[in-house]
Amino acid sequence: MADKADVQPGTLALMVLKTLQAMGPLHGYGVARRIEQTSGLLLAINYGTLYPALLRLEQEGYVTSEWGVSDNNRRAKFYRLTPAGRRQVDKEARDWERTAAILARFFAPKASR
Amino acid sequence: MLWRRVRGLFDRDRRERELEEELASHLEMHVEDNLRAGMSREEARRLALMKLGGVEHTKELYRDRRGLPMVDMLVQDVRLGLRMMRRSPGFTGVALLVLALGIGANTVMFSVVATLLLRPLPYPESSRLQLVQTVDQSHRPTAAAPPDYYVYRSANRGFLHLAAFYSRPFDLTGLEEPERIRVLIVSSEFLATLRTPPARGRDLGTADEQWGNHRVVVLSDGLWRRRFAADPAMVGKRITLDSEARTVVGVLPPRFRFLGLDVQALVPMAFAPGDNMNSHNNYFLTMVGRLAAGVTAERAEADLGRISEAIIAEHPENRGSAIEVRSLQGALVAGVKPTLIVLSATVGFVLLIACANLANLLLARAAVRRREIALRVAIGASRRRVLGQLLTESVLLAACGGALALLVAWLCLGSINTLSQTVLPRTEDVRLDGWVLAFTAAVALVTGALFGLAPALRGVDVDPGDALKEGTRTAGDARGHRVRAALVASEIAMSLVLLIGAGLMIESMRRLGRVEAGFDPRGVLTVQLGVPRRKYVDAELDRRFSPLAYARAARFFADAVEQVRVLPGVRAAGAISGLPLMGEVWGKSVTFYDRPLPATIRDLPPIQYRVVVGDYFRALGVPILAGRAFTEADTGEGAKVAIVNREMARRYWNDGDPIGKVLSVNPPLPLMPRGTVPADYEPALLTVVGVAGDVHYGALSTPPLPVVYAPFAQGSEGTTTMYLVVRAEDDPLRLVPAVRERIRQIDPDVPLSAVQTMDARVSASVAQPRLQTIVLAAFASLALFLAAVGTYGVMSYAARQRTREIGIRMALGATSRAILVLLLRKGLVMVGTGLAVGLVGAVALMRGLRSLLFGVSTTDPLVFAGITAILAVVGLAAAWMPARRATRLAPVTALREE
Repeated sequence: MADKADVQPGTLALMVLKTLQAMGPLHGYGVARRIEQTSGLLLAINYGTLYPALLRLEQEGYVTSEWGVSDNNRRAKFYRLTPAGRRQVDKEARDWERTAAILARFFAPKASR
Repeated sequence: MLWRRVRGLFDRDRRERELEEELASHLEMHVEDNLRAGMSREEARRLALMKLGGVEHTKELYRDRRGLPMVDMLVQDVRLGLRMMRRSPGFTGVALLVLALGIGANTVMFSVVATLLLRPLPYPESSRLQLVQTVDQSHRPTAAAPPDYYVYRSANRGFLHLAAFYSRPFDLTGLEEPERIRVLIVSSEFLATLRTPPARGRDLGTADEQWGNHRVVVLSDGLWRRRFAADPAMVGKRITLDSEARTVVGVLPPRFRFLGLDVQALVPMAFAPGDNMNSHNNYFLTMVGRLAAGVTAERAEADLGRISEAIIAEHPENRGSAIEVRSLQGALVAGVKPTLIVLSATVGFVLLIACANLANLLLARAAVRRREIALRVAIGASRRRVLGQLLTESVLLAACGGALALLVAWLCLGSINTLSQTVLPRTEDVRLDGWVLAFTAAVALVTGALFGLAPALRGVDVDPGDALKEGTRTAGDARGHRVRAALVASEIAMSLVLLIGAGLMIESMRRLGRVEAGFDPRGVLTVQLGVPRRKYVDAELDRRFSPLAYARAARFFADAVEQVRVLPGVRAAGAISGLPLMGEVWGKSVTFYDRPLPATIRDLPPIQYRVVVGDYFRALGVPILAGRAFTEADTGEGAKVAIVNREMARRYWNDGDPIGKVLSVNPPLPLMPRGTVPADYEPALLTVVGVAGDVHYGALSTPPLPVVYAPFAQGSEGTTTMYLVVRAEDDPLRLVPAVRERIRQIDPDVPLSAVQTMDARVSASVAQPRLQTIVLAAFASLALFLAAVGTYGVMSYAARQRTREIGIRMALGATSRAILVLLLRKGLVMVGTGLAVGLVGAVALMRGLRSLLFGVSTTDPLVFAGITAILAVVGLAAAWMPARRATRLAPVTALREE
């Protein structure tokens, strides 16, 4: 438990978008589980925080939602990327890569010492 | 984005259901997964919930994101606030009452002040309008002579238009009932200056200023409707004014008013060739101008000043006069400004006191609500959130108070219109408009924040752990008490200021009431009688200054007085040219023939001149102190006589005996400016035959000036308006029909007006100070009451808090006297501090009252001491009662209390 990382601010939305891009329409629980699995169970995530994040993405127009039926026949709200959402994933992914690359430079000398 | 969030505010129920459902399905899926992983159902559910982070918490997070959280929160707070208000109707009722009165008073005051000071006068671009006045060396307004005006008009460069006007009554006859109306005699560009063209017909023009063309008139809308049935074909018809036919050329727009005067008609200013009125010696004009584009009032004043100097160089008799330009709006309110300032400050103070009181009530409640608030903090409400909620409650309270205040104001304004027509100008314009609504809303908001802030800050200052434990006291209580004591002290201080203000006003009224008016107003009827000049004055003789010009008028007034005197129920009757308390309206100068002449006409001693008919002195109850009153023998043919008042004897004869001395109220020929008088000019010499008691002709608050009385028959000096003074045996108003009938029998064309008892005149003359006093006293009483309630509240709260301590002390043998002293000490400090601060404040602030006070200094020690004593007694009584109650408790009860 102790070595699980907290979600970095601002990264949750990107994770959600990326998950939806990879998996197609998915309900909130599915998104949560998928993020957890993808992170290799290294991320301590409160599933509850996902819903405001989803709502925000919906308000921003990157995802839409509709009620549907899950694999095991349960009514659930499914989230899906909009075209704007797809563009946003690419953009944020690029931004993130750049940020990560920059940060990596700061850490690099330290590692080589 | 914003739109979606705003939409999130609505259709809340559906979204709430969806969220519920979504979270439920989430949990079920999670539980199922957990079950598959081999957990028990209980374990599966617990873990799923933990992983979610709590259903309620998630919902809260979600809701914050959904709507606009601020608005959402506000809606929630308002709901909660309304619920709190409903739950404690007693507190809510008191608070709303205090707020409605406090804010309402301010709303009324603001609407009056806004009308007078802020709302432009009802003329287009009225801010460019200036009142132009000739003033003397001490800046008292005098007037300009027509030839001066004509020079100003043609030579000035600062004004687009510069109009002159004066006012005098005209007799409207030829209709069923004659009437005396107020007419403004104006130069031709008067309405153009105001940019207010007539609603019908045409404006006056320069041609109308030519003598011969001047017999035209513009009617007011009111007169047109009242006397001419709103005849649409009125323009072009003729009416009779002062026995002269005039053609109606126009009708003014409805509600036309000028300088607060209800003008009934306008006639052009025109003078016959050689008319003495149109000379450099006759000053009766005031001017109103519209500034030219880009010219400031200062520059226009400088420009007129330059012209004025030039006129003085040519006509030295104008020496010592200057010209002043000030805004028309400012000129209109100059007289009432001090009153407005004092009353505005008063209502402001009352509202502050009300705020302090409400803050105290809320503080007391905050103490009661500590547990509720602590509970909320404990279950996760942030302090900011609780603070916001408490403030919302108080602002909500103030908003409701503000709404009620508008109702109060609306009721008050209705009565203001009828009440203070005589006291305030432009009351007909006072109304609740957008500005007033905005003001009230702002005041309510600020009030709510003001009285809510301290209690709210104190309210959130709780340690949930402590507060939730029953019956503990924390340091916060002591601090809270200090805040409340400070609030009460400030209430007492402000009440003291208001009470001293009211005390000074009352004392001033009392002194005014004790002024010897110099006459006995009880049972006296007064009626204004004006004879038409055309019919009663010989114009030719008048031009030659012959007193015989007024022989017919003299006969009429003598007849009228005689006819009224013989009516049953009449004790005595007389008439005078100006009644007491009407103002010092007729100034002249006096020449003593047994003394050397002064150098110029301006150095002659000033006096007031009054002409009388019949038994005026006996009718009004003015004592004749020496010599005799006028008799029937003092006619036009008899020796010319005069009566002087006591002040005159004191000032000019050193209190000696003036009887038999000779004087004149017309300047001697050597001092008259050349070319202004006919060659045979000879001032009439009057022999003093009596000394009358002093009468306040100006006002009760101004000292009597020297007065010379003369019989109308000997020295009417151009007057055609007299006031009949009738002393009745009982109710003077019962004589009115008979008097009216007698006058009609003598001449049906002479109108009666201003029918009033002398008592009513005296009372009207002090209407403004009385109104001020009543309003101030009412507010001061309210303040006193609020301060007493505040003191009582704080003291009983303090006593209740210390019940246990008192019980222990008493059980240990403290006397109830010792307990009383212990409890009272706090009250004493509180009241004493308030009084001390209040006294300092009063000394500083009462200076503002100076112009409203009569015969009492702004630091009158008796008033200060008396009022302070009253407030000290009230404050101590309010402090003593709860303390006394606390000492009566049996120790056992006191200990069991908690």
